[in-house]
Amino acid sequence: MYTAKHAMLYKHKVHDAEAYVFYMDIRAGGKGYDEFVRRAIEEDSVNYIRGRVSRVYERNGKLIVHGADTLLGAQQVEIEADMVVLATAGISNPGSEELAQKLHISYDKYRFFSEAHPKLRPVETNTGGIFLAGACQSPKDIPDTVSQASAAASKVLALFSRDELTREPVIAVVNRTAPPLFSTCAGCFMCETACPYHAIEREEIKTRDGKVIRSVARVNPGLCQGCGTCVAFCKSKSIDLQGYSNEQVYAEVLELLS
Amino acid sequence: MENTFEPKIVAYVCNWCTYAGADLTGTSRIKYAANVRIVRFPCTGRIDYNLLLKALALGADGIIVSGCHPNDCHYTSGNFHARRRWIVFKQMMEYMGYDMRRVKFSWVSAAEGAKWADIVNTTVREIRELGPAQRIQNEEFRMMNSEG
Repeated sequence: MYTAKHAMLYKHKVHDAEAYVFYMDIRAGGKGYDEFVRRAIEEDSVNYIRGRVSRVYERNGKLIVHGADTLLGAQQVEIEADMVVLATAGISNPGSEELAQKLHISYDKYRFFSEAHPKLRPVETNTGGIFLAGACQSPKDIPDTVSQASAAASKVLALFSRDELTREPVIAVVNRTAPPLFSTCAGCFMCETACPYHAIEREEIKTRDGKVIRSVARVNPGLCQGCGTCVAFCKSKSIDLQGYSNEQVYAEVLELLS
Repeated sequence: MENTFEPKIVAYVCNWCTYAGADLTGTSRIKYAANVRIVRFPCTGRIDYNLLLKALALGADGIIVSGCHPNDCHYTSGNFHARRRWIVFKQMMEYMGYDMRRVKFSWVSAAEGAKWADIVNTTVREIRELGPAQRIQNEEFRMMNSEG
């Protein structure tokens, strides 16, 4: 697709020049895209040749491109070119992996960021409050990027339009039962490393005169998705997943086995 | 003598893959042994050592732990934590002389209804051959729980 655009722009700038495109399959899927390629071929007379290039070498200051035209019975083609452009694939940004790890969002094996659900949540990430738009998610052209960015912006607005956030009922809670300054949390923060959503925060327990006694874990209820990984990690059993606390599960198992 | 022992098996499964998979087993009308009692969790990452030990202490003859395939976790990484924990748990229990043939760990996706039935049936058959489990007594449980 961008090859057609390049060729077209080149022909518009340099009128008496020739442009050749070697291709196997033209991937121009989308509204009006095939018409665009046809326009490049028919109106701007870009020469599209179906076949692979076998060799590119230099001769008398020119680049000689050797190829075959498979639509003309594999006829040999030799073009004396001033410039050869490789139409390579779109790839992700080299720093995307680092960014994804910093934001705690998931990415695929090509280091494009993953959406929460390909059909139902295409602009959200698995981490609350982080949305995707554009070529960070997959190679995209401008119309697709604009649509995705509009969707992401409206998701953000929907988030801010309400006075209160809605959340899942099942979330993890670090116990802070009576007395008010008390928590069994030992402050090892194993849960912080285990949490895939960065939902564990550090909270300081202070005396009445503001002296910090110690720092304990606290679950941000807006970010927690309720997976419970922190619960299993907690050495002092200070985190419980609401609805799936150890006591509740024990009671369930006891009933099931009796 | 005919074997009339009916093992009680507790299955700790994750909500998104194996629970849905077990549901599919039912909707596909595949029959499997009725000895299994399914306990649902949001994620295998929630499943702690003490839940397994408690089930054994309360009289389970076998346990199945099952979740999403690696890289398919709804919560990105819970099943990887579960897998690591499983390796440590298995080694610890084997060191303490527990027959780990009674505890199964597997991945069953939401599309693998037949695999779930197969796992349950195999486990029930194996545990029927092993006979009733010796209960982990309370003192032992307490001791292990404080270490684990």
